[in-house]
Amino acid sequence: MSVETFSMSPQDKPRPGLAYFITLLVVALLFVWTAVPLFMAVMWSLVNPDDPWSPPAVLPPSFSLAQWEYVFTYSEIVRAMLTSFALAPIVTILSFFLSLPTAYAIGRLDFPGKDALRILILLPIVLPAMVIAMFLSRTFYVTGLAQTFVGLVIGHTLLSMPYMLRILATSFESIPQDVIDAAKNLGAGRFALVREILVPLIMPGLLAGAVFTFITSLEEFNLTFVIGTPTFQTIPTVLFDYLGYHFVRTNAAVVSIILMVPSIALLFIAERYLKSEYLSSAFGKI
Amino acid sequence: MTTRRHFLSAVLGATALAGLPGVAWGADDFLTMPWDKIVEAAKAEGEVTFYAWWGEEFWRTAAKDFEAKHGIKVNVITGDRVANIGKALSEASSAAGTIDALLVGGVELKSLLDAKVLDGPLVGVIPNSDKLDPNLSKIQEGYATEGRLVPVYRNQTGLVYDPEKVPTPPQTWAEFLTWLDANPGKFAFNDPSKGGSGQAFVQAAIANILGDEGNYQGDTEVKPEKIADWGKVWDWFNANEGKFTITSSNNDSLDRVNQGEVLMASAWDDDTAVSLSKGTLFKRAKLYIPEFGMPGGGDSLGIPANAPHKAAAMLFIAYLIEADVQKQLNTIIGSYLARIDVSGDNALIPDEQRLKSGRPWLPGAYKKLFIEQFVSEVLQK
Repeated sequence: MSVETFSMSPQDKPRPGLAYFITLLVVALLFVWTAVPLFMAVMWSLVNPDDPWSPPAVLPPSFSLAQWEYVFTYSEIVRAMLTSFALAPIVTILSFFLSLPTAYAIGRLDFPGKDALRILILLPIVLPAMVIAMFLSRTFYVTGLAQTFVGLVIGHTLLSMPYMLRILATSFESIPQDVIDAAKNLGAGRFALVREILVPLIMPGLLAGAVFTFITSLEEFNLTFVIGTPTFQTIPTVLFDYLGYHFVRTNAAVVSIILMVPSIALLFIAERYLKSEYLSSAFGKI
Repeated sequence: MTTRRHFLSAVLGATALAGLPGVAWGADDFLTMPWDKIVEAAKAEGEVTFYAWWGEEFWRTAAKDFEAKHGIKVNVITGDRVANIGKALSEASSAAGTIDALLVGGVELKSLLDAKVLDGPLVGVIPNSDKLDPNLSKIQEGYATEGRLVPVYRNQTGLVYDPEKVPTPPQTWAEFLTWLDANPGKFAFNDPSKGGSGQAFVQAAIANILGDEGNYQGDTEVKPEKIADWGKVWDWFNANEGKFTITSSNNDSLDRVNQGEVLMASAWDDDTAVSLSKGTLFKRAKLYIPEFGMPGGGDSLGIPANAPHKAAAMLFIAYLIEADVQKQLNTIIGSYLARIDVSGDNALIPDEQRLKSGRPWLPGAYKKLFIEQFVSEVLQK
């Protein structure tokens, strides 16, 4: 009995080195892309007003919390944070309840025009936000909703709901009919079916939709600027105050960090619950 | 007729019986009633809502001090300048608006004056308003304000520079051109549609390339014969394109100076003061008005005709032009005092330089036009 031995030529050998190198490169690029701006924002937010940060100094010569103190003392940031953190959860809950019936219909039922409806519900996130804001603002002013909190809730919901709707619809769609049929065969009633089958299976999608809706509302600028300010300020409108006519880098850095922290925290939450299939269901089919 | 006479007699009789003064002041008589009555009415109103677009540190400090002094709460809202004006315009048709007083400046003030949004005249009614810059009290951006706008500060554009790299900054236009040739790309001014310091440099170029800018003063509308040669200015900008760094805002220019990307830039005195105080511009930076002249002006306070707390707004404006408060303004935000009878300690540009090289802005109609033409003929070319 002879034993054949196989030897791989150098050309046939897998090249883990290259894959490893490409992975490292991508990670490094992502790191530079996200960490460097964050690092610079933190540095600028800590510049000591008495000790300016100018080249050739690579880092601020000394650190101070004076810029933070200034923003919290003299800007609208506290009021803006209250508005933003009140708006985003309300918008998320409202988006969920408004999306639920439509998402179920798209995900579980067959009806004429379903595909067209799928595309139609994405329009608010496909069209440029300022264009939507300009056209919607007229309606809001005519109906007296401009410069009101209710108007902001409605406006943010309109812009955020497509994320919730699309992800929920895909979640409903991905539930295997066999599971539902089996539950019915085993005697599950409508309430048990919802509680034991539908809710657990759409929960990751619901959480994903909630994260996207929450962040979209938190970061929404255009419509808020047109129909809410100056009566209502949100964190992005305060940020744009410091980015626009009177650009102040140190103040902008402080507000950027305030805006980023909840988004980063939510991403960690999303990381815990968001499975790849839900990410693909959220984005892959859009 | 008889009925009306009886009614008037009854009102006057009731007034006399009640022991009230012979003149009864209605809610809309704030412009004619004695100042002590306005103060009384202001205290009865109890609050005032004030809109500004920058300088939050000063407005909030002043608001706190005003509240301590008069017991009247001030809601300070700092929003976008254009949005503030838009809000005042959109509320103008309502019987009662939500703005009691607002900071007004730039070319936008014309829209408020044209739409007759502002009450007045306030100048002459508000104490110490006779001590304000007489030019700004009458005309701003080339438009007669009819006393409806009370100047609260003056500001001046100039050139900010790094004295280590530019030991002898240019004074005349010819010297400036020589410096520009020797230092291509090292001079910055912002897109004039995005900030006044860029507009200032474009105006200086028009004045120095074409001649005396005083030629335009007094016009409320553009006279075509006076702008016939503006094409030469745009040609000059296009021919020297590589020698300028055009930035996105007033403060972006200052930031480029701080980063060492440029050595000199067109800038406002108050923006420069704020940058110096916030550590975003090196302390050695200097600002001056070159002898070839750069414009300056100021911003003002107005009260919408439908302001819900008009007396409190008048009292707040009166407070903001008190001598000590004007000095406080100069200290905190670096803008120059609107009053001409007192001086501040935080002026980056000496008075004699302002008088010698400071220029008025071109009338608003011309300013609006040169901004539009610069964008279309230079930036978009």
